[in-house]
Amino acid sequence: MELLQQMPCKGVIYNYGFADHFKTGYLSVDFFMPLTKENATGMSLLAGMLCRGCKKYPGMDLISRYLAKNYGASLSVTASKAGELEILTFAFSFLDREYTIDGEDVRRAMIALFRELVFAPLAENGAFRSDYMEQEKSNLIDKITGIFNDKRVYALEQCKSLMCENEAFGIGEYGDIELVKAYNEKSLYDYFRKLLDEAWVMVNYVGKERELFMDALTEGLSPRTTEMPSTQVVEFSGKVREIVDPLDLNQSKLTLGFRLGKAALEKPMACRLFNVLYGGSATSKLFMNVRERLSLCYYCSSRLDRLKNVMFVASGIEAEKYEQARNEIEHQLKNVAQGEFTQEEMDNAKAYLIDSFRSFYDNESALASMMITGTLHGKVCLPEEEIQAVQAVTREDLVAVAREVQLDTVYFLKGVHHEGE
Amino acid sequence: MKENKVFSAPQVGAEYERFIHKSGLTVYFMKMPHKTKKAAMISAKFGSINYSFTMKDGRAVTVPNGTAHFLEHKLFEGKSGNAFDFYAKTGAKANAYTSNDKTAYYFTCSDRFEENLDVLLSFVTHPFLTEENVEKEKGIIAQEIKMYEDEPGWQGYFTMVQGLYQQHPIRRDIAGTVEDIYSLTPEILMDCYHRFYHPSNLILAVAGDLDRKVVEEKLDLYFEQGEQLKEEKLEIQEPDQAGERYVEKRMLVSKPIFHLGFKDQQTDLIGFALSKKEAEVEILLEYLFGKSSPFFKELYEKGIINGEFDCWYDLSDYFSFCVISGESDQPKEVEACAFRYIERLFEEGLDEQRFLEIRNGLYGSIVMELDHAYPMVNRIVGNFMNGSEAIDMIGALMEIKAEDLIERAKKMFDAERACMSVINPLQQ
Repeated sequence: MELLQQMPCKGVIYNYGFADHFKTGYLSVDFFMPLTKENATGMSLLAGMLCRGCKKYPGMDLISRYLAKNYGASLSVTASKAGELEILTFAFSFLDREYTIDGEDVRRAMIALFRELVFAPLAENGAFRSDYMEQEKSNLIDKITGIFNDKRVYALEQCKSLMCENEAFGIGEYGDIELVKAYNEKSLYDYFRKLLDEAWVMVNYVGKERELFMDALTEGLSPRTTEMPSTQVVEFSGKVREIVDPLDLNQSKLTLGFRLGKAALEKPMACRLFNVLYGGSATSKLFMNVRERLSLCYYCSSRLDRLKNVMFVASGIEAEKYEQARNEIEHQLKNVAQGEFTQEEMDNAKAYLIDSFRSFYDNESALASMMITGTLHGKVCLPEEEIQAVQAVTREDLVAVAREVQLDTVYFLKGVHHEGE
Repeated sequence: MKENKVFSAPQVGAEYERFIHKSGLTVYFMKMPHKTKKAAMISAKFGSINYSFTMKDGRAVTVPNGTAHFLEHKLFEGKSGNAFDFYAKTGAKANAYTSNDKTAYYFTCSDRFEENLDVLLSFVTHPFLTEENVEKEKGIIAQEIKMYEDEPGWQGYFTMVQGLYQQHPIRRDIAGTVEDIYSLTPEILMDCYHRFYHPSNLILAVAGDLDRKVVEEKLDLYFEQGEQLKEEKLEIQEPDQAGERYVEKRMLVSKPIFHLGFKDQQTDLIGFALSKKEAEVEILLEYLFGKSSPFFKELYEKGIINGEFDCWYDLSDYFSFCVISGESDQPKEVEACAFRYIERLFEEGLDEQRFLEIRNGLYGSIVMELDHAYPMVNRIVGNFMNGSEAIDMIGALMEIKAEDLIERAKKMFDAERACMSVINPLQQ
């Protein structure tokens, strides 16, 4: 596999991942803006609006039919957040031409579709279609309120927003209901024009084709005048916050938010390895102790946001086991910080991470996101280079990362039963 | 190795082999050249529907709901420790699941495949159940059960299944209740193990850039030649009609969540005929309710449904039903609209052009699936359990004619055999 990165003009980046062993190709175009309520709301609305149709295919049914005709190619348009960035992604996955019945190049059909959706949307006189606009506003409000339906996700989002209520990171990736209501077909269209002018853009391809084709996607985009948005890393305030929310549930959700320290930023691979060892795998300290040894839960795991330099631990427990579970989660962190882990545990964590990197070679979208996150973190590496970095992590590196991890916020969604129901 | 058979779809560059080990174990091997990832899955034909059976010594046994699932958890434990500890040495990712009709254990890895296969086979063939470790697992599974009790998507689906079927054991909860699992003992679990984990009731599927010999050599280590037990097909009595036309529940949700189920009239197909039915139903679902359908367009544009919408087909050799699911303040209107479009299909026939597009799309998505080790072993196992072959989907798809679809739709979509379940918001 070979990587090639180009920057045809400021703020427009091309990532090519040439790999011969796939039957499919993957292509994405990502627009990056700072995470603000306005951007999160605007980009989430656009994710809905832009796949409603374009002048050439003025309906979702017509787009779906176009995709089906092109051998079941898939398109997803999503808004998401990473660190304090809001990202609008157009992702296409499609059959390589070697396997199409008449040798058709589906990739070209996807490029053409992207051009239609973004450069010839369903808009007239500087405004989107008003009926579609009203529907997508209502759908986005459903989506924001619907976070509540999955209590695991809901608890995590609550923890993030409370821990970072004065930081951009506390803003939900779908934005804000009041701002959704405030947008209309004209103001969203104006916002869309602004996005096309200002957002940094990354185009990413993984597949067999060797052609350098990405100019065809970005034609018409001018050099960006601002810098790539960045994420502000905030230090621990010195005071742990605890929030308890009672709700009529069978299971309580315990979520802990941690701030990582300088060592995690300086030694990013040690930080990733620390996460695997502590709570990111089925042999982690959290899994083996909170679940297997103490039988407190079915799941207990940690995850990082590396741009923001934070970590969240999530578990589902009995309400009355709150103290015990929380103490054990903190205790296991202390163990890692004091170097109380065996060589075998460290080797296992390395094997886990190395296997994940190696498996990227079979996953087009994982390779694409590796190129994107690599770019955001300042260096794009092939999986084998990442593997070397994993191997180089020492016990001291892990301890250094773990010692600086600070519990910041505990969010407890406490299951209580209302009588008479 | 007996009954070696090669299955191939040369037009998409895929093939796999099937053979039967002397122990009676069925083995599938799929070579995937140039792939990094490898996957193996072993599965027992033992799911939540197998709750009442006869032991070899003639004893009749009835087990609580959740038994197959509980045993799944326990087979990760061995005399020498937890299976996860062993997988961890190689970095493999391992897991397992239990469904209505099977229990499946699997791993994926990029390296040291043989060692991982040893772990998989040795844990599944060497149960280690003690009073203590069975007791310990109860707390973990109780939390898994409670997690599902709070999941509106799962509750809505399961409520629908229970409404759709009147007597069928698919109505039984896969994980059971907390009370069910607290009644389990090592003895009950070992009865089930002896009854359902003999090699002729197991299937192993392997995919990756591997040598078949590697797999063959392992088999003799874990599976002995023995008595071939022939599993009898379960006798299931199930009336044609749905038990309930409408069922509802209240939970903490932001908006009503609906699941509309359609029970199939025909459940006696196996082999290529079953693959063809699967392909027909997949085409019909997209044709009638998918994102390219007039049904979806109408409801979406009226604001009756939103982006949270899906439709799928669940089948085995014991049941067959379709589901359409989403969020809506007007689930009754969704149902009425679904039947309007079903009627229209019967009255106006099929739009040939759309049929061909959808078939093309399905073809592409199957080819994409054939390229990935884990989805392939999972599909191979699932199809085998139903009595069909995974690769037949490609051939079946190409054989389908427009008139087949109308006939299929008549068997699948009928108001008498439909049930709507709704999870309504609980007032806080």
